[in-house]
Amino acid sequence: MTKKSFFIGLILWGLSQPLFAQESILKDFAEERNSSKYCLYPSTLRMLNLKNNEAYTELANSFEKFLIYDLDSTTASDKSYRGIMKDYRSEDFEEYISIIGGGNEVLILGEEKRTNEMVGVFGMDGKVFVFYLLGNIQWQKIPTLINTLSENDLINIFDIKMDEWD
Amino acid sequence: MKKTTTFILTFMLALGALAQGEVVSKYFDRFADNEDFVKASISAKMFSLFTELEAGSDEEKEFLKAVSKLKGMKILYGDSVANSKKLYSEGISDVKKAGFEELMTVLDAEENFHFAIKEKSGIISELILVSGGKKGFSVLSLYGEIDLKNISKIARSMQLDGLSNLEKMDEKKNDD
Repeated sequence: MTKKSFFIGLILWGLSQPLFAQESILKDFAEERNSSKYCLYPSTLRMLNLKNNEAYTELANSFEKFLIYDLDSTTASDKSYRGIMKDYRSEDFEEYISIIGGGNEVLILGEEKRTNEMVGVFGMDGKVFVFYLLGNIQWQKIPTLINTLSENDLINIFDIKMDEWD
Repeated sequence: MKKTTTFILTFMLALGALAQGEVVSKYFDRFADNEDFVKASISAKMFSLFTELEAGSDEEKEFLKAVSKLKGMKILYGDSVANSKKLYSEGISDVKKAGFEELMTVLDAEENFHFAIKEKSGIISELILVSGGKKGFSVLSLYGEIDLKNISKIARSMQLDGLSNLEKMDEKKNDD
């Protein structure tokens, strides 16, 4: 390896660190446990769009990466996932919304200045999902999406039973 | 000298922003581990996302205009609370102690509502609603630049039942 390519490699690695570092907090946590992982990209998100809803397609195209982890029951009940949300706060992620109590939990944190990332928790009836989202999301499409989307227009990925595919 | 004044003003504004929602935060801490209470908080970042939304109907336009100046909202509520009447009285007392001015009280057979505001130079910076019924108790704080006329519109869109009582103020004014 030449000196020049070594330095270029080093600079690229350095530039990529903030991106990977932010994602890895959640990834490392969830993948050490028995969590089910859903990794969605614009192409996979578009495939869920059974009725070709235009607003949905535009919204899906603005996602770069969407990771969802369905946490195992032990992790969901020990609430250790709250620790990683603290880690994100210390990485300058700001709180958008938090709802806790009555058996439900919603927390969304975002970092827009450097990387357009969001992380969050959705918990209901003992089930807990954590997510990581990267992309310049077209929020303005959401009202149109809500107004035009009907039940069964999208495939519910959480209904897909992977064990039935074996 | 000018720099010092700017610094002091900035510092005081920052302190003021931190103090917003303080009354509800106190209840968040008190009932942090109590699952009977729902604690919800919407930040300025979330309200700034609302302003990016495309409004379709006139109602949506009005809603977006109304939320555009809000900086945050905090709510604590429980609908199966043993000592709701005591909490309601404590809530009103805490609001008074925090320097809020009473705006309106609605006494109802089912539920009582107490509205209070913080106002400076004609601008309302925080609105607090304390409500208590036979079993329910809630305390809500809205902060930012608040136009009371718009709050009932926000309440209707976000299905915040207690806040729709503010419409009664307009009705009363029209009756006079």
